[in-house]
Amino acid sequence: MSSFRSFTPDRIDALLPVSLRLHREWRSALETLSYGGALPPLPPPLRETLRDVGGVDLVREPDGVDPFASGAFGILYSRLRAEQVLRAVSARTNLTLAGTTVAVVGDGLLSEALATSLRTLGAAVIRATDAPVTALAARLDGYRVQPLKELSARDTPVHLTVLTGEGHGILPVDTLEGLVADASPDGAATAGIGTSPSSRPFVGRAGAASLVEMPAPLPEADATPSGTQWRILDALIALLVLDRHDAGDDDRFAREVTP
Amino acid sequence: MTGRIADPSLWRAGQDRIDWARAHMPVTVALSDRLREAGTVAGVRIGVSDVLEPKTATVALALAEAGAEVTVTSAGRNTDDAVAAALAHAGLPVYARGEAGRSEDRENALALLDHRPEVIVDDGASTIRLVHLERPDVVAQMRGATEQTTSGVRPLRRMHAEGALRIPVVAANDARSKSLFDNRHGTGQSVVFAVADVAERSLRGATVVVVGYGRVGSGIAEHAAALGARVIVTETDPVAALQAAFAGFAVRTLAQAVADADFVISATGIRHTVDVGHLDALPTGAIVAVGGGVSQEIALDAARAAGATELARDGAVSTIRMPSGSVVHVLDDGNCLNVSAAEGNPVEIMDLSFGVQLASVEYLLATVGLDAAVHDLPRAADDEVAAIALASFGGTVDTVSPAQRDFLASWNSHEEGDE
Repeated sequence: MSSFRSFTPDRIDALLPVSLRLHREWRSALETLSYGGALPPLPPPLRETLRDVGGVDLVREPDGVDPFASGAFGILYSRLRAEQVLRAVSARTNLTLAGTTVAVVGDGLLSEALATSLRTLGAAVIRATDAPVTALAARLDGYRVQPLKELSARDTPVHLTVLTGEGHGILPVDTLEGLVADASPDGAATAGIGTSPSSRPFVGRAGAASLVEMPAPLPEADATPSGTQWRILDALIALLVLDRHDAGDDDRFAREVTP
Repeated sequence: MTGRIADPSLWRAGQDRIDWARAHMPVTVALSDRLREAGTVAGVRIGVSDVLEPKTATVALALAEAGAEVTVTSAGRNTDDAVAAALAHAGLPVYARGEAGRSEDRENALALLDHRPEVIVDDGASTIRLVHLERPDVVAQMRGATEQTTSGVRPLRRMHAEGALRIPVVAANDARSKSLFDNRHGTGQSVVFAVADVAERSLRGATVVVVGYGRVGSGIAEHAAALGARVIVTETDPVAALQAAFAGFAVRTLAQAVADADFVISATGIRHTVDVGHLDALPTGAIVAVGGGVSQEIALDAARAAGATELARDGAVSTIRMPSGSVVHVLDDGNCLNVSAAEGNPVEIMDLSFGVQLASVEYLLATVGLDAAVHDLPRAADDEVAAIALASFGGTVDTVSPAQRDFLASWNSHEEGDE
């Protein structure tokens, strides 16, 4: 997005308060930081602005640091991403979450965060997973648990299925009913699935399912970044700075990003 | 007179959004089908006076498809011009324009009355009151009205007490299928999500102060907590405050709570709830908003009179420097945020409310001899709305067994071991 180029140092500092402070703690010269894993790359104009104004060249590379190797980052990311996904589902459909049945597919931290929020919002949550340990914990926490192969064999209507991308591959979305949201970091859970337009923006039809387009966790090229996207980016850079200069101290990272 | 809207060419976009809403409104569809099959509203002139967005439009269209002669009006601030165009495209006279001011709003409501409605479906009772004041000849021919808000039912009861009410009115607002869901779940979700979206701020780890723990406030508190906020409730009613404490929320005075607030969401419906002193004491960067609400629930006029100045305005966010030096962000000038800056309550929740409205219309038209008073919707009709909705959510309602019925019907059943 071209407006990234107009960002002043003060503006960038306000949007990335933790990471740029940490960056300056160790050096003020340009620093290249690379990350790998499932998070998407930054839009080139934002990368340039970060480099020119913030002194950080953030690049996604296959052998870069995987931020999800940090337990603290995983916790922060999962909570923020869960909120981002639920807000997007609500705003893009104007449908209720309370009273609905929601299948949360996956076995990681994001699945847990989504299930916890959805239950508090008044939804009946089904945890869909093939991971025995996740299934055990979910069952003991009072969730209905379903193996992935039974995802489309339903005895009650499922209003929303959230694919986290954790512990599952591409699923046959067009065999599902109701809303489907791909909450994976890079959209991998629905890659290649074709949709036809619906009467609602951000919603496409795939068989009987309505696939609700999700925002990316990091700022995107064609949309004004949300506060959540900036916060995840701030955390990502902070993690990489600490990995470079402080031996990846997860406790320090957690202290820095705790509100 | 065939209507007054902003731009007829917008109809396609409005129709798309109505189609989406209708696909998720099983109660409205089921009840309007029955009205059509029974011919209950055939040829009946019905005036719909409501917020004009896809869900209300679905109700207006459903009544028209059931055979009613439907006319629609809405205040400018509550009008979606594309939806108004879609209704006009469907052949309904619509008097609503997004940019209309108070004067034009009144002209539009009077234009609706010129269609001589026999039934008014109202939101806020403004059109019911208007017809009594300005069109007594129309009132004389009316069969009744329905009202779906607390703030609308209150003056209607007052009118009845003073002998001014001349038609039967069904208090759709008081039906359990409406009152137990609309405010808590509908407004709770729409306000909290709208606050986060308009402020562009995550609620995770934030301190959210919820002012008032009625049905709206409790819904806001629950939804904010679900998104990861630490919620502090402020209440003046000790029982409601105790309920908040038993729901796991910290309970403080507003004066105490504002010192730590990242967000303050007022849900009292009372003017000057968040006063100048509270705004002055907020930390810099705090966000203030109203859910539900009345004008000046956040005392912005008083704040300006005390020296507060607007530093910036970005969309619906006004940044204000208070006399204390604190800089706070006010969302949508303190208006009811979920309606003014978002799409309103979720579709399925409003389906319950509109199902109650349709059941109320059916009750009005099918019941002979209703007197000029405010009436409750009969329990059976209320239950039917809930049962249809429950089925759509995948639930199944149980039935009372003969043994239970016998127990409930007797006064002296006593088994050994009973106390």
